[in-house]
Order: sequence, then C-alpha cells, then structure tokens
Amino acid sequence: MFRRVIIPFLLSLIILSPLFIFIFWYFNGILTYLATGDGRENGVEFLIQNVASVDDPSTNVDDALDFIEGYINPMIIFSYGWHNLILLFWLILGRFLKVNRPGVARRYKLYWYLISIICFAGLSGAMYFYMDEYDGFFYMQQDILWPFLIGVAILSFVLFYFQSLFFTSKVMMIAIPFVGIFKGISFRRNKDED
Amino acid sequence: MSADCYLIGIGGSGSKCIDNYTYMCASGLGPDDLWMGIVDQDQPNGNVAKAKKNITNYQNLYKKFRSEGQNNILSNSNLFKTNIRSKKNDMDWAPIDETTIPNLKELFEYNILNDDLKHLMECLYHSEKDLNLSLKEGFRGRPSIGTAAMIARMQEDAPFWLNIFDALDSVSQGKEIRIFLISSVFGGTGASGFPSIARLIRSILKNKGITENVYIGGSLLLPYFSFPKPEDETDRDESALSDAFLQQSRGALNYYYRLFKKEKVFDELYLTGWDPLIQLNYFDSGGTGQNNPPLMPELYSCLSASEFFTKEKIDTDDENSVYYTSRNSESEFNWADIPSLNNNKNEVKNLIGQFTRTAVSFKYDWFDTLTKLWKSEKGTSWYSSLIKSYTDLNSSNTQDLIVEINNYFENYLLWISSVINHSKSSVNDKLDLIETNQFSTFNEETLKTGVELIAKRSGSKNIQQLIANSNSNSADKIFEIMSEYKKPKELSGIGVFVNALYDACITKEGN
Repeated sequence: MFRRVIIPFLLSLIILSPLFIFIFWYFNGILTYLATGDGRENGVEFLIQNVASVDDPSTNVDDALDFIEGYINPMIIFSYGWHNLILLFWLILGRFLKVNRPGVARRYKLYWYLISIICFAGLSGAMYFYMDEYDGFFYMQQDILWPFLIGVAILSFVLFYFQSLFFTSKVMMIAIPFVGIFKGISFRRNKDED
Repeated sequence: MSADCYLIGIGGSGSKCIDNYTYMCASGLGPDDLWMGIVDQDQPNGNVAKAKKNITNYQNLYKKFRSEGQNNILSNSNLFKTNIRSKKNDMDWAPIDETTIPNLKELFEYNILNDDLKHLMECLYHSEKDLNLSLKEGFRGRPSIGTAAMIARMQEDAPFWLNIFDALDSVSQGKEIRIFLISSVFGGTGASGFPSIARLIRSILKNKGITENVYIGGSLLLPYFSFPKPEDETDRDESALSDAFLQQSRGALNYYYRLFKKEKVFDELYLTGWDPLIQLNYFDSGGTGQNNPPLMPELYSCLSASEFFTKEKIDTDDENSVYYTSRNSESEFNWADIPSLNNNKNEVKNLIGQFTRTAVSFKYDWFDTLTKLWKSEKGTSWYSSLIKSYTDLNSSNTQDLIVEINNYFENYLLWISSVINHSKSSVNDKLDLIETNQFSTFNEETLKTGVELIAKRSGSKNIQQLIANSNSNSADKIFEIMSEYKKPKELSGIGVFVNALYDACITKEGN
C-alpha cells in the first residue's frame, strides 16, 4: 500500500505543484499576491485582451481581479486537488484489483478509460458549474466558453495520462493505453550499432 | 570443504528413494555434489526405470541452469542445487548379469558341487523352489538368496562400484567421503545388500589402510506398506508377500543387531517405519509393472540421507549411532512430524514449500503465456524485466527448454501429490502438509497412480494456503516481484525468469 499508493500519491502532489503554482503566479504573482492581492500585470492584461466580454477601461482591471480571485484561483486549487484525488483513486483501485498472473491487468484498461473520462469530464463540468455559480458567464466572451471547456478537458486528459504513466505500479502499467509506445522508446543505442 | 557424497538405493524401496531424492535435490535439500546409484536385480522394474529417467531429466535441467552463459540461475540458489554426477550407463548395478539371469542352482553351479556342498546348499535353501527360482525379477523378498548372489558377484570391477572405490583413493588428499545406503529391511535385494555392501566398503577401506574421512551411513525402511495377496498362484508362491514382511523384518533386524554389535558397519543408522501400514490397492510381482507410488516413509529415509550429507561433522565416537523418528499423532500428520535438517526445524517445509509454489505458479500461471501468449505481453513490465533483453521466446531452443521445465514441474507435482495422497494409513488419517487438491485430483479406484494433475487451476485457489502452516507471498505479490525484478549480473537466458519466480515463491519466516 505504502509503496504502490502513498508514495506515488505524494510524489504526484509534489511534481504537479510547479505547474499549478506557475498558473497561479501567471495571474497573481507570488509576491504581489502576498503583499497587495492586486494580481500580476501580464495575467490581468491577458484576461482583458482575450477573455473579458466587456471592454470598459474604468472597470477592466477590477473585473479581471475579481475574475481571478473569484474564479481562477479556486479553480486552480480545485484542479490540483481533483487530479491528485483521481490519481489516488486509480492507485487504490490498482492496489486492490487482483493482478496475480500475466494478462490480467490488461482487462482493467476499461477501468482506466472510465476513470480518465470522470477526470476530464468532471473537471470541465466543475469549471462550467462554478462559472455559473460565480456569474462568470457575464465576464467571459460567449464564443470562447466551449473552446475553453474543451481545452480544459483535453489538457486534463493529457495530464491524467502522464500522471498514470509516471505513478502507476509496474503491475498495472499495461492497463494504460498505448503504454507500449512509451516503453519502446529507448535512448540507449542498440548493441548492434556499437 | 564439502564432502564427496554417494547415495546408493538398494532394491525396490531403495530405487524409489533414489527417485524421491532427485526431487529433493531439485528443491535444495541435497548436498552440493552427489553421485547416486541403484542396486537392484530387478532391472526392468518400473521403479528403477522411473528413477533413472528422473535423474536424467534433472541432469539435463541442471546443465542448462548451471552452465556458464546459458540460462544461469544464481549459483547460491537452492533450486536444482545438487550436481548429480551419475552417468546414464553406470548408475545401476544388478548382482547377476542380466544376459544370463540364472536361478540359484546355476549361480553356484550346483550340479558340479561335491555332495557335502550340495547338502549344505539344501540345508540353507531347503525349499527346492528357492533353488530353482528365476532371479530375473529380483530375490522376491528372500534375503538369504540375495545375500548369496550379492556376495558372489560384488567383487567384480563393475563401473558402478569403480565410481566409489576410485573415489576412496582421494581420501589421502584430505577429501572427505560420505556414503549412504538406503533399503528396506523386508525385501530380498535390499535386506541382503544393505549390510553386505557396507561391509564390503569397510573391508576395502581396511585393505587400503584408510581409517578416517570416510563415513558410511544407512537408512533402513521397516515395513511401511502392505498390498493385497496376488490372485495368480505362481505369484503367490514366488513373490514377496506383505503378510511376511513383519516376520522377515524381525529376522533381519535380529541378524543386524548381532552383526552391528560385533563390528562397526555404519557410522550412522536411521530406521523408519509406519504404523499402521499403508494399504496399497494393487500388486505386481516385479518387472515394468512394478511402479509403486512414492510414500512418506521413503521421504524420511531421504531426509536422513540429507542430514547425513549436509551435517557439519559426523560423530564417530559413538560405536553405532542409531536414529529413529516417528509421528506425533495417529490421526494427523503435519510439518512438525517431519524431522529437522541442519538443526533447522523448518528447513524441509521451507524448501519443499518454495519449490512446490514455484512449480504450481510456473505450470498454472506462466506456462501458457511463455509458450503461446507472450507476444501480447511484450509491453508489460514482467516481460521487460525478465525476458526482453535476455532471451528470445521465438527461438525453438527456448521453447523446448520451457516445455522441459514444465514437464519437470509436472512430474514433481504428481510425485508430491502421490506421496501425500497415498501415505494415509486409514481413511481418517490426515496429512496436513500441502493442499494437493489445488493442483491435482486423487482417485485410487480409476487410476493406478491415483493422481492426476488438473488442467486449469481455479482462480479461487490461494497459493498462500498451498503449504500448510507456511507464510509466503500472495499470487499478486509474486506477480509484482516478477514485474519489478532487478536482474543480478550472474543470471542469463530463461534463468532470469526462473530465478525470479523461485525467489518470489520463497517461504517467509513467521510460521
């Protein structure tokens, strides 16, 4: 349990954190956030230029800061927690599913697909419903809402795929699709080439 | 420095013990190096043929696992540990030349003896039947005939005996030699050969002036089985009848007692019996048909051989050390009833347990994958760790070896199942050693051997419960170890896989 679940989970918490800290920093700035909470200039500018549906110079910055504070920051924390929680579920499942002979783990590929669907659909769904909760639909341009949600789903899927690839036990590895492609990559030269 | 070890099985029971001992060598209970041989007049006997085939199969696998750069397993592994040196054409000896096979009259050229000697012969072998009895299928439970034939012929320079006698010369260079004889006390060949062979070796030692570093041990099987009376009238007259076993044993033991009191024949002597006797349900007078199932008392004899071979020092101060073992309960037999080895009460359970788990796992979990389904497993971790860079499963040589390993494991499983299922003295007797029903069925009524391996092991069977009172990895853990195996440098070929499986099936301390 410790080696196959807890250690990989802790590693995932550590390894994924720079990505989410980067997103947080992009919109908030670390020192600025701690000192004033005024947001990072580039992040605010990005929201005004690409996301905001209303262009009013008198309220643009405040609206962007509200959006960061009320929507982006909670969603960063939620995404980070969600991905690690889903990974934890996959690791626990992998630990308790019976894999006692060759060929058995492959049968659990379906489970991986189901969990990855829950992962990306859950995250996109949460993004959508929280947007509604926050009244973010008024802030965000209508035509980028669906590309945004689809983009989140794709990124979430890719992230979970790599999480699985790095943290799943060797026994369950074959249940991850296309794992053979990654396992086939070797940076060592063949003996014949020497 | 390990000793040069020699194990000689005499007669039908002795041959069976040689067969049994080969499996014990495979599971790591034998010495590092061993020569094994069979003395039996009944050469076509099924037991002899089975033992010889088993030794050959063992040696083939040993060669593959232990030859540099082939399919090496770890040199300090207990798996197929013993180097059995016996060669196919000198591992058995019949006192009387197979091509002539006379009766006792012809053997002693009775017709040309003078009258006094003729009368002496008639006095010793008072029944005319004894004198005319064909010796083709052994001495039919008559040690008096066997002894005469044995002593008359044993002085010959047969390659069989040269293996031992030549080795005695190396004693002067500081080499230690341990010779162990196994036979039954109630048979013909065994009962006659047991003291005769030991005494002959002693006399050779005396002639060569060797007084130390050669030790002779022996295990005598007291009556431990009985079989129904043969239906055929001739068989009933000529063959060993189990009714007479106790009486014959008494006579033989009385003789041995007087003999051993007078002279030192064995440095250590082990006696094994079984009460009540194990009932076998069929009879064969001899020849190829005599292929009796292996039984637990024979295993005891084999363990005594292991104890003799592997103990640090043999105490010769005692005039004649005599060992005996017995079970604790009449209705139940478990690992606690098995004698300890090397002062470790769990050694036998641990090693037999590990080998049995390896055999079961190989046959039921891996064999099909290694031979048929391996292509679909190429992306798996176990394939990367154990196969990918080390062996080519596409090669016919590798496939042949996998089949050979599987055959050996199958034979072992049949053997161990047979030992356990046949050794019950009564229907209420419980042998709580290995859950043989996890891999075999037993039906004495329909099968002569009684035992058959099941084709597919049910998923509900638990490998952790395969060996009674023994702690081991679960099947999941075994698979995990195989998937994460880090190959030691020494391993090569399919040896990587076999070594990993054997290591994963280890018996853990705790029970």
